[in-house]
Amino acid sequence: MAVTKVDYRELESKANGQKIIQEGAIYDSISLEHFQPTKVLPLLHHVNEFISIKEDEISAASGAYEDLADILVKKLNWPRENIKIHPQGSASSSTLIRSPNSNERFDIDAICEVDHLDAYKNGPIAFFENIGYALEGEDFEIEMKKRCWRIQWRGKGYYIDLTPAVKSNNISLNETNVKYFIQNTEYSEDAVWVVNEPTREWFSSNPRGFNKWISDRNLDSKFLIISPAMEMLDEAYRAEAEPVPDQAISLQDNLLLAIRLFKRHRDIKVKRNLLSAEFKPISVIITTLLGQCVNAMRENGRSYSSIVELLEVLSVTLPKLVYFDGKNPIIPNPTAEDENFADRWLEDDNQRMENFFTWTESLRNDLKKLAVARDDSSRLDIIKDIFGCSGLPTSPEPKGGNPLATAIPGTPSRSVPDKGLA
Amino acid sequence: MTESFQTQAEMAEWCLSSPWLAWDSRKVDSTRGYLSIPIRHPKLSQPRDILGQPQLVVPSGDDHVRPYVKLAHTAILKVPHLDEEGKLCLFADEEELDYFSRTEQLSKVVDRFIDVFIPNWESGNLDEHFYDEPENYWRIYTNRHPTKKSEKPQNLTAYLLSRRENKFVQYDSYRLEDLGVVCSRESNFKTRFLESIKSTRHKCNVLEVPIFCSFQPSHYPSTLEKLKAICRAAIGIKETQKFFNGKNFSVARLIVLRAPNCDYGYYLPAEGKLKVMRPIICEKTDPDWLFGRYEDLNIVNYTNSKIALIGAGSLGSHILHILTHSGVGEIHLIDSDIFKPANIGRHTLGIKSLGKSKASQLSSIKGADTPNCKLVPEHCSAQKWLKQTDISKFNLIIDATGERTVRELIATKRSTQHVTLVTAWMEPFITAAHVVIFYDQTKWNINGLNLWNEAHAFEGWPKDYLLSEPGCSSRFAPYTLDQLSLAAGITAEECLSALSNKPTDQVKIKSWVRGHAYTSIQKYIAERRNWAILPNNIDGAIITRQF
Repeated sequence: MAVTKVDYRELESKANGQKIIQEGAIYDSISLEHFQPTKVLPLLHHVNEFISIKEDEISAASGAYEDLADILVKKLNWPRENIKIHPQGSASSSTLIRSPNSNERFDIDAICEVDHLDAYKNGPIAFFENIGYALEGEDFEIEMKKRCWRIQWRGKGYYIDLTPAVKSNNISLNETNVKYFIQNTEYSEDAVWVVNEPTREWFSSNPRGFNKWISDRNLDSKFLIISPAMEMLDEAYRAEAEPVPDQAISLQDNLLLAIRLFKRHRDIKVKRNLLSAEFKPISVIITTLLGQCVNAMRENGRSYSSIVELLEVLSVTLPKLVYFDGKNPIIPNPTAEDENFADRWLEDDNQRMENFFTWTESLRNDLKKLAVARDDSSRLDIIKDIFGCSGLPTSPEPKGGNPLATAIPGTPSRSVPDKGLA
Repeated sequence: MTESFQTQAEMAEWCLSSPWLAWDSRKVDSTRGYLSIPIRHPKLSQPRDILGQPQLVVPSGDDHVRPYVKLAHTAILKVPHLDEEGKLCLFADEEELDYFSRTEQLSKVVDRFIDVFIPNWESGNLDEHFYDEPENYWRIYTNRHPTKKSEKPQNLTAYLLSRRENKFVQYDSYRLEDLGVVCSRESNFKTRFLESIKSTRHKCNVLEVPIFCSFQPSHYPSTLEKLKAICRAAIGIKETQKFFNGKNFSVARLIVLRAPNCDYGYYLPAEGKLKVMRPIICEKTDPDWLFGRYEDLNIVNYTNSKIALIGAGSLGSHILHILTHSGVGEIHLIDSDIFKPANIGRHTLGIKSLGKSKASQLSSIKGADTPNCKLVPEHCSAQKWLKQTDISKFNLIIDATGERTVRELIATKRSTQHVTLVTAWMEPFITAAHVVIFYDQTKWNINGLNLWNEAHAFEGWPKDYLLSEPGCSSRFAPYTLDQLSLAAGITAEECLSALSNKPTDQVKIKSWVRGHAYTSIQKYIAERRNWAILPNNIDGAIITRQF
């Protein structure tokens, strides 16, 4: 079913107008005077650093791609040059963040593109299952998900969700078992077919196109903060705010920073049980709405004095960008607009939709607290609290283990147990 | 402990040598059995400066009581590793301090506080530690709330009889005045649990809400609105409204937020007193936790099992004791005997049961203690019960009578009605105890081999190895409770294994055989069979044979 085209410029304009009417007086009073980028931007980048997964951890996961491709070549006799495994989703768009739950593995989404007729000539399920069979009996555990195989190694801090895919021009649209969404021409060359196991269908998808779209929108976001504010960053603060070398995003990557911080905020709300772990807003929705928002803001000629102001306006505007066709919420995939990312919002007693609006409201309230804070100490406390980074700023690296749990130095070692024996 | 302070002056001298201790004799209070010495520590910035004036607490006069650091009460539930008295837990294993002298202990406590605790607290690295022991902090929180002791609700613990589920559950239950709220959707266990505790009941509506993660104390929902917000996130607006906005306020309500490693109870009294929402302690009481501590994966097999135990005498009663405390779901007890004074020394029943049916008394007394197990008394002979019962409806039959006629009747019955059988008995003086496990095999004779005879470790007992009761024709075997418990232990172990093992056509005989040192001092000495011969230095062995 074709999804109604959403005019984000108009939705953003409406949201902007409502914001000015509702909050104008307060908003004016807290503008530039208190949005001190020189104070807050370094802190936000500390948060960003805190929630980052180190590049070497991601590299280790990427190294596993080659091994996986070799397994497929060996077990399925597909030509090596026709198999390409590369990261997709947050792993490839610099929006991958660390889970706030210690000991929880992070997932690297990867796509396994196969360009070989023998692989997919027997239909989607044979293609999908063959890859699963080939991955069996190796030194990792595999688990079938809806569109991917989850691969987990014992003792490693990550797992890979490997999505089997076929180049889009290799499957005919006339086949009965296809679910096709018309691709946005700008990104259509990257479209692929993946397998939707529950419906046993080929499903059109475009993870690489989606990344390009995020990259384009990130470019939009760089123009949203007016330069005088940036210039207020004196040399000392600039130095402090420089991203660490292995950090993938820079000071001007406003969209990427917003995506990462908002995802972190969502994860912290889940950890505090204020959002449902099952029905929390999914990352692709947060990313899409933020991308659409910065695009509409740029097209509507908006500008903001600081990253804090931009984040706060984004949090206010975000819920208003959900378009309703009657009662049906619509969030089109920007690379294939017929695909509605909110297509499950009316299932399960609307809990996905409720959680989305609960989250945006809490995000707005939290960022407002930050915007109206009057001193550095309060700002620091608020940032630590809302992004769950209590270790800031003196200890950006979360430390594992319990420093109080080590043995007392000088304690004699015991070779046999002497506690809990009766 | 090799070194200690004899006087306060020695203590003062030692403290003055430490850069971290501020000895002030005017402030030292030794009247309550300990000395408190202020600890100097690096100044902490806001919001970390909540430790108050840390004290090194040194118990005086008793070197076996360990020293510790105490923080201000205002730090409780804000600083992890702090108990309800403000005592800071600095070591994973405090007993290790016992290896050291008093001065070494003091140095190690102060060093750990200054070098490890302070920098980690200041940097925020300890904050996540609240998630390691959420139940400890919740217990402290509920004990401190409300602040007035007179307002503290009596017996308001929630006993959770079911495991955490992934979906919310709502049901009617009761608060027992002498215990707390009994929480379970499952009716049988709850019914027996409620029957076990004789106490005034008050209706209570319970909502169990699965939550994703345990809380840090600063995020406990402290108001009804915050509690509702968590419920809304977990179960949706509609269900939350249904529970909280219902019109039946005449019934008390309990909300249990169930994280994977901690349960948080909030009790809302009846009659619209919603403002006095009370956080309460929750105790896991589900069979998996009670009997398997989540480690024994076979517990599911036990809880779903139905067993018939024929013979509720000395051996049977002890087997029953172990099986009910192991989580078995249902046991039928078959015995026609009446409990007599002479039984007291070897039975699990006591004086209150004199003159009453063993089967009935065991059912009511054990059933009340372990309501997880449905106990069904059958005060009749084994013969009568076997005649009227379809034994294939049981997962296991246990013959603990030691009687030939019962053994033969069961064998006949099993030829047409399939059920696993465990037969257990003891040889005179408990020189040996045997457990025979039949799965598919029904006969005691296999290939001309009589398993009953083959099982025994000794032969040639004199005819009078049984004693007679004075003035009575009734006879009994002389043995003591300590020996009996070994026989009951291996029997129960095999019964539980039989509930989980795959059936086989082999018959297994497991025997506990005592060594020469034990058998040689009994009143009679029988001839030991070859398979049961043990080396002289072995006083007993468990031997398993398959037939």
